[in-house]
Amino acid sequence: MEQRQESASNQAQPQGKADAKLNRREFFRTAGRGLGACLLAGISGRWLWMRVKDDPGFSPQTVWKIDPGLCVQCGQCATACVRTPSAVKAFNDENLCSNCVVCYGHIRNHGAPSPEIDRQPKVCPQNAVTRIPFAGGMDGYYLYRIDEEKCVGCGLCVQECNHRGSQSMFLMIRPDLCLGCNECAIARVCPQQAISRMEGSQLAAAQG
Amino acid sequence: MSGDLPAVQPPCGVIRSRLAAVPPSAGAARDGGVSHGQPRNRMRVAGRFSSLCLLAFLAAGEAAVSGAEADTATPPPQQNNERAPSAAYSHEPDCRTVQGHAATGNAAQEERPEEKMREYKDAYHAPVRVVFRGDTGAYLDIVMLLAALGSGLFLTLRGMATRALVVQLIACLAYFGFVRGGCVCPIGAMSNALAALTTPEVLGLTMLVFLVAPLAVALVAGRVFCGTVCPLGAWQQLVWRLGKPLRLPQWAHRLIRLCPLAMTAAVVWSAWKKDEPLICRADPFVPSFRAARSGLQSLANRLANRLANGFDEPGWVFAGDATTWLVFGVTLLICFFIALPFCRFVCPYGVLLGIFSLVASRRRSVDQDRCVQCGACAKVCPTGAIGPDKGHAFQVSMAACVQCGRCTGCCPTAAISCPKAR
Repeated sequence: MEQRQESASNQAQPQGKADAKLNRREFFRTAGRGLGACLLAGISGRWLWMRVKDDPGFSPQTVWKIDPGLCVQCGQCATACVRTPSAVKAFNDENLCSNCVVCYGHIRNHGAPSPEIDRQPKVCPQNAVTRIPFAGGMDGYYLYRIDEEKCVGCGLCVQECNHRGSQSMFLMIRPDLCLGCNECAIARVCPQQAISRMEGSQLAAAQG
Repeated sequence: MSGDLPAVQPPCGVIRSRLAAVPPSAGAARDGGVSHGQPRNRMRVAGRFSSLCLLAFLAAGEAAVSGAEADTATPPPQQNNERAPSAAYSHEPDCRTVQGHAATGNAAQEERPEEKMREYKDAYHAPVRVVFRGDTGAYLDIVMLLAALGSGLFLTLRGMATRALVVQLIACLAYFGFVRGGCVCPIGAMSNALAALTTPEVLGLTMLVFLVAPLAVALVAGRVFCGTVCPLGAWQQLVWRLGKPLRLPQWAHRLIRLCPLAMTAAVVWSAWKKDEPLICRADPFVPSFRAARSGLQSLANRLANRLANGFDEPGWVFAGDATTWLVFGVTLLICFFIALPFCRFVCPYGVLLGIFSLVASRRRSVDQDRCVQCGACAKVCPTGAIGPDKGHAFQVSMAACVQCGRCTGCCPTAAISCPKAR
């Protein structure tokens, strides 16, 4: 519209070459603007269409996760994270834990008698794995809890538990501690490519 | 703090001698350091109002985050894996688990009295977590970006007062840098958008908006995002405004403009071939953002825990190592002497914004009838965007201009308009 008005005024008062040049420049600018707007609308539209089509309950953000099947507990998670201490923590899944009297993720000297176990040298260098006698008796159940304040995510307990024990321990990127860097520093050094991005909605779905 | 900064650059002696030819109305506008044709007081009030609005938004955002604290007393999010660790944080599912064991296991069922369970329940406090970036945080980021862009656009189009601009920059640095932690910024979102061509799930809605919204604004009034919103730009601009920038010749500015083109090519190649956001590694300011966000988060967690459970979370969280902090320090030092080094030497998003700005509908331009060719604007321009062309007429390059508004403020004849429609 603006373009037409300008050209009309130019026809009414022809100013010569300079105005024609200006006019052409204006035309290119308008065309470029339209092109740019179309490009942006296209990108956004395609993205939205794809999301709405694929899964209706999408989340606005993506988060980082560790695939426990790929993880080999190399220990990089403890050092590579941009945070100190790392956002990666070890957890013990109570559903899988056998509640053993002697835990491979807890102590190294597996022959120690039960009352002596708390005084044995621990697997965890931070002494984050604690043994909680639940039933009270000598041969009762024991809960193993990993203190998340002490845990640095080195994965030594996870390694022991996965190689010899009931494979109930695993490493996890705590979503509330993760800074959500666009390029995860741990993913960059992970030898197994076990760390990947996923949609936040999947995280919410996994929580139930 | 912002009051220390000079509102206008004092014109040099040559200009003063030419001022006799300037119409008095222009002289009055010059004193205000704002665009011509706008009353000084109205501008100040408008600037103050918009910065107040922004601050109010910021406060509201922080209030929303801290309001979310109370809600997050419930167990925080869990990781998605096939083992579904339901009992990692809270004791309630935990106890259910134990009861499940008791029902199925045949050993020592009667040895677990109820008081033991209650004791265990009482002994375990689920720690309170403040999640800064839940879905709510992501939507808040989007709202804040649009608000900041709107406020920046307003300041740019109305001929910004320096003080209002500095307030806006500090607010944006505080929110997008320190509270939000810097990631994902539009610069990094470029890589994600490219990587999303093959793996669409890496591009979230926040990233999309952070990529597209500044470009859309660039179609209207040029690189408003660079000059008023970008937290990286804010660091550089704030240091530049305090600093003693060296004056580079025009050919040096032109040469510098080629550097980010190479960087853009590298970023595109890296995202395309290796699926990596290369630019995130070249960001020198990010340790400050991460450290600030970690610190704020740690503080919030401590407060929340103290209120809810009566104990503190021990320790303090840091981010970044010695190298990144050294790079950050050196970059700030460079900013003191060379204006906007990251924007001009590295930033690939600036190139993209520059391309979109070339066709912007509202353009900053020099009124050739008023211009006395004193060159004061070229001296204060941080990016060398303004200078004489072949015919010795001063022109503004919209691709390089970051809309800082300094030329408009310093022009003795008020010949440089703020961006306006043709």
